[in-house]
Amino acid sequence: MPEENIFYLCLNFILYMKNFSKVMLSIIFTTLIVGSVQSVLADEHRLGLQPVRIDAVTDLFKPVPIRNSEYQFHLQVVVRDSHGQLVSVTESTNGFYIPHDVTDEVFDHKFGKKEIVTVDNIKYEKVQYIVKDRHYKVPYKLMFFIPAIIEVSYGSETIIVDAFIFQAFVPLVYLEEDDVVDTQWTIFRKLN
Amino acid sequence: MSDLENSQKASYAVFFCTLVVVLFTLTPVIFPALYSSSFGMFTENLNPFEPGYQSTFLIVSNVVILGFGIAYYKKKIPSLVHDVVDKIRTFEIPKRVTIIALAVILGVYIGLSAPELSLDEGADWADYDAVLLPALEIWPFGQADDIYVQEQNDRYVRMFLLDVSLDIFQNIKLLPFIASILVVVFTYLVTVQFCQKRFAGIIAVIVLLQSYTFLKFDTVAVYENFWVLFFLISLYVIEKKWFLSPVFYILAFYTKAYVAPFFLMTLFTTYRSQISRRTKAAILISYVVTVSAAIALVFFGGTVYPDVIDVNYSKFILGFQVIIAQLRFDLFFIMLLLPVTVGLMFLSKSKLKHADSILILIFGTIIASPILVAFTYHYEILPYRFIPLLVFFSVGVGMFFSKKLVKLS
Repeated sequence: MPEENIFYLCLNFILYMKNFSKVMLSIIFTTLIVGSVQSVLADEHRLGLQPVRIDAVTDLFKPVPIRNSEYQFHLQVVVRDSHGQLVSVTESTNGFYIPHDVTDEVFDHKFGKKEIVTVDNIKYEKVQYIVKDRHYKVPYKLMFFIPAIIEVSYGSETIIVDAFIFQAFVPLVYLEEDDVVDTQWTIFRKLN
Repeated sequence: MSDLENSQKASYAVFFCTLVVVLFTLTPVIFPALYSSSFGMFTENLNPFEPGYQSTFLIVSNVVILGFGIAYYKKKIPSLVHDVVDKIRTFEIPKRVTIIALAVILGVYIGLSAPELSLDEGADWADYDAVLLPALEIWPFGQADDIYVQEQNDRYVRMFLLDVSLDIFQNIKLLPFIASILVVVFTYLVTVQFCQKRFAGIIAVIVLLQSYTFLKFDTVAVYENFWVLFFLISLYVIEKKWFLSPVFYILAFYTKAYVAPFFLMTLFTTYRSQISRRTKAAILISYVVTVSAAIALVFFGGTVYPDVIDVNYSKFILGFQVIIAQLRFDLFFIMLLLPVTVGLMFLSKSKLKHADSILILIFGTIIASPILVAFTYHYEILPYRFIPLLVFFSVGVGMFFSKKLVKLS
């Protein structure tokens, strides 16, 4: 082909592609190097927060929403750092409870003195359950529980399981290793 | 009244509203128990004026930064220092260098975060097994008794994308991670569009990528960033292809209904954009139509949202207390939120029109959470909902580097 018939559509195309290659190479190498270093660290940051669920064993203790039920609760979570300085105060009235005799039994006998209070013309029994200076070995909490240990007949066996009779959803509460948590549950039950 | 006077009044109104919510947000850093003592229940164990563990840090840093800022603005600092600050603020980088810098920053970010794709979502976040997987199993046509599962399936766009990520790519975290990378890219693009400076965009990207909250949730599928991405794009396209803005807004809405009131901020950003009045009117009409259709679908389309409404005004104030607890590890944000808010007002006075847009976006992304918990019983405030706030805060920081050299001829 005679030389005069060649049309150069983009004169700096080769230069442009060279720069493009440099950029791509730098991205690929940076990603590879940094990615290789960090893959070792990632596994150590697993959080492992899955609670043991009794509903895997039986439906008898299946939790139901606390809203519009015979029970109501208010949870206050106070977080302090290792020096005792106040980090945060969080409240919640949202969550679940287990509608079972076990819950009634714990409410009647394990939470101490009961008070009778009237809220919006409805009479309630009120108890408080306070846990102080608790260290949680997790980086955050999305739920707080009141656990009960229950014996359950499972086939021919009797097994012991943890059941969370009251479970409160909270806004995510970040925790550092040495943080100390106080929880104050105020639980109401409608008086018949 | 002239347009200029109207514009200035709007700027002051926006600044005042933002300042109020910022002060409401930062007060619990100094007194974490103050709001609970006043608006909470069973508070006999709380001291409202007990100082928080970050109170000294916040007060000292803000006095220093605001003091320096005011001295700089009033030209009361040594001229040498003033010139150095001005040089940094007017500094600009060529397009080619910007592309390389952005590529390296993204490369480092992707390299550091990519290993998280191999983490077990269910082990890290209980909601994955309890809510998201059951929802994906019955998606798109199944019904669930659990309102939390049902609510997931009302978020069609999100569920579609997560389903694709799980079924096609065999990793539910992959598309959420790609969305997070694109959030970083669009943070850059929005900053450059608002400031007309590439260096400001790079600064915004760096500020976003140092955020603890962003890095914590960037690969999490249960609390993905699709909605943040769609909302950011809906803002970005206002000046490019305006008719796409409501399309991306509706995608954001059906990814996360939380974004619903954000259209008000989009309209303000439109008002401050450099586009014709006719286009502004067209955007307004398109949003009125889109939002009306979305509201109609929510209330008449059998979604769970009307069922979760429950008004409790005291939770509005308590919501502000929760916000800062959720962002407790974002020290840069806590330190600079107030100075950036005040500084943006001065930038707005210096005719940087989108400084107001960022103020209103900061205002809206803060106040949305307290409003949400005040009007529903179903939701709690979670840190990932503040990723848009962190994005707009980052753009706001970038704006301080948007000063241009004035060439005298």
